[in-house]
Amino acid sequence: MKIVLVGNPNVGKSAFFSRLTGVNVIISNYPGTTFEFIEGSMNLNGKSTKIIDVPGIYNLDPNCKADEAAIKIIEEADLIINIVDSTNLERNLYLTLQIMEKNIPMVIALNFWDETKHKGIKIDPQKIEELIGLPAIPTVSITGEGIKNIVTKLSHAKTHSHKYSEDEKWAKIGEIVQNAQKIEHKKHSFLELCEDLSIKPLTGLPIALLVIALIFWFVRFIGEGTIKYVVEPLFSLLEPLMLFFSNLLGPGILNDILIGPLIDGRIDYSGSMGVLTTGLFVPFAMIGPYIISFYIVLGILEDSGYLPRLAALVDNLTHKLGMHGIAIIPMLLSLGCKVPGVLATRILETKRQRFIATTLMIIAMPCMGQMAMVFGMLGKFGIKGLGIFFASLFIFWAILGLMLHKIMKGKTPETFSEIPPYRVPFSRSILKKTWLRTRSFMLNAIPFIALGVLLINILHILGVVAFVGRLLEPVVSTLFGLPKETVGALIMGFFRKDVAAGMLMPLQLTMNQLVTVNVILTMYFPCLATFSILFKEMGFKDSLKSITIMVLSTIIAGTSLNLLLNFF
Amino acid sequence: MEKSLFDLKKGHKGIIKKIPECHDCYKKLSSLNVRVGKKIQKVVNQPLNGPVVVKIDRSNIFMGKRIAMKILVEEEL
Repeated sequence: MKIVLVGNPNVGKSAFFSRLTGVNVIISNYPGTTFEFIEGSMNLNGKSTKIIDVPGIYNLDPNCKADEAAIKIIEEADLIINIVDSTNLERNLYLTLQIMEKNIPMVIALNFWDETKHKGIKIDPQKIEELIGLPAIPTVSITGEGIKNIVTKLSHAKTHSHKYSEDEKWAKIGEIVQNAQKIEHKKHSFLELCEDLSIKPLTGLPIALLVIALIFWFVRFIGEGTIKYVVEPLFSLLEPLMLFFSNLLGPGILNDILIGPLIDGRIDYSGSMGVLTTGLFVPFAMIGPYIISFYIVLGILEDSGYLPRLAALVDNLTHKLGMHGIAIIPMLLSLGCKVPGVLATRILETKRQRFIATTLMIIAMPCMGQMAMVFGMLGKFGIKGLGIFFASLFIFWAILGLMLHKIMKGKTPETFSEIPPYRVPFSRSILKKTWLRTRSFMLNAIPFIALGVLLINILHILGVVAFVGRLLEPVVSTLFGLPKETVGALIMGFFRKDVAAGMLMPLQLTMNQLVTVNVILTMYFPCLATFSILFKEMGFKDSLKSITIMVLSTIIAGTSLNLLLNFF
Repeated sequence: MEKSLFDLKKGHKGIIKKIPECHDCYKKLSSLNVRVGKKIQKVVNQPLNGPVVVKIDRSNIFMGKRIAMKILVEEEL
């Protein structure tokens, strides 16, 4: 048995899902696509029942790639829980009437029931049941109120096979709303005041800047703190075990590959390039804490309803680069990891927008793994080093976007999007989301890190790194002003940007060189995981185009940074 | 007085009289409850031809300038 949760975006569906399911939650792919949905299970009358959370939709007329798959999942459901925002009944019921036409047993959850009271809305669930012919139960997914009631009502789920025309649907909705809902005028609440302040440009723009600064501050503060006080001490505790293992292996190639060279008789976790030392230290101690703190902030931003406001504020800028303001969401996601970032570009309706967004993302957005390393390396030069690094990437991002928008055929369709009300995020769904995202990041990163570390070791031993180093030396040293030792890191960058950045640490580079090499490392090639998802999402031809643009931009950016930084 | 949603002043309200005809956007507009006969309030126009933010019932919506120019409203005085 398969129960599917369906509703408009921002109706508290993920909190609802968290309430229904236990710990065993997985992200699944719709067969034959990369469309992701969340799947969990619950115990229903002694039987384990699958619960599926599909991303929110406004109607069943597919208008972008993601919706089509969502509709297919809905059609395959045995039972539907339609989650409705009670504070926005009229609009939400439109989807309800459309789903009813699919003839699948359904119950309706009138969610955010608590908010109706603050907002002066009185709804009679009995009346709704009568008029619509399906069970309708008030719920508050965040506190869990009414969820039990929904579960007991699942056996009363009904089908209802009216076919309404478009106008009949709205007439029916009008009838329901008129009979089952009464609205009293209430004064603006504090959250509503915040809504106004953050959308009006005069106050909204400073708030946006503050929010972005806070994101970076929080991610660094939590990330650095966890590394310093929790993870590094843990790895120090592991050191005797590693040393014991190293002694056991004795000197030789195997020791070089697994543990790497010791420094003053101690394990060199970050620089030794051992599969068991650096290969584990990088994902768990150098980037893991940043990833977790980033996903917590992102979850809070998503669930509070701030992101669409940010989208409305930046829409102006992004339209000049050929994208909707909504493109800010995949862009932000890609700051964590580009794999989910590239996938999230699906919320943009046209192929042209997706191409621009993906190309800009893979070229000019650093991922958290790499940023974690950059914070470590450039942080010691104060705000200046980090400032130049991020400012140069932003400038390249903007210039490249402007050019792509100018050159590419076609137009950007007009923006049209909902801005949900502010809501206090539900800690349990944020933790669940953070856990899911971190897990999929780690599962993706660890094999690539291990593989990358292993391969780079072998290439070192075989002398390939030195050979390619000599080959690329003219480009790297003449154009970019970097020592040829950086070539090893650039090769590593094909596998993992974070490990690659780590390889730069022992090289004693100047601040200018560090800025240049990190910008190049960000731009010149996406890591293997991103590369494979790029091909899957964009196809061979577009990926090739994107990569050509990438190589050209890297050469231009690296050379101009080298010239500019050394000139001033 | 009838005017485009774009020209409606900040904070002013009106009733929607006409929405653009293209089929796709009609569908999408209506599923967000932007329909003829609905009461709509202008929240703000983002500067430099940016999107227009409006309020219908209890939800806020933002839309590109070109869509807002094509939506006609009867202003409530």
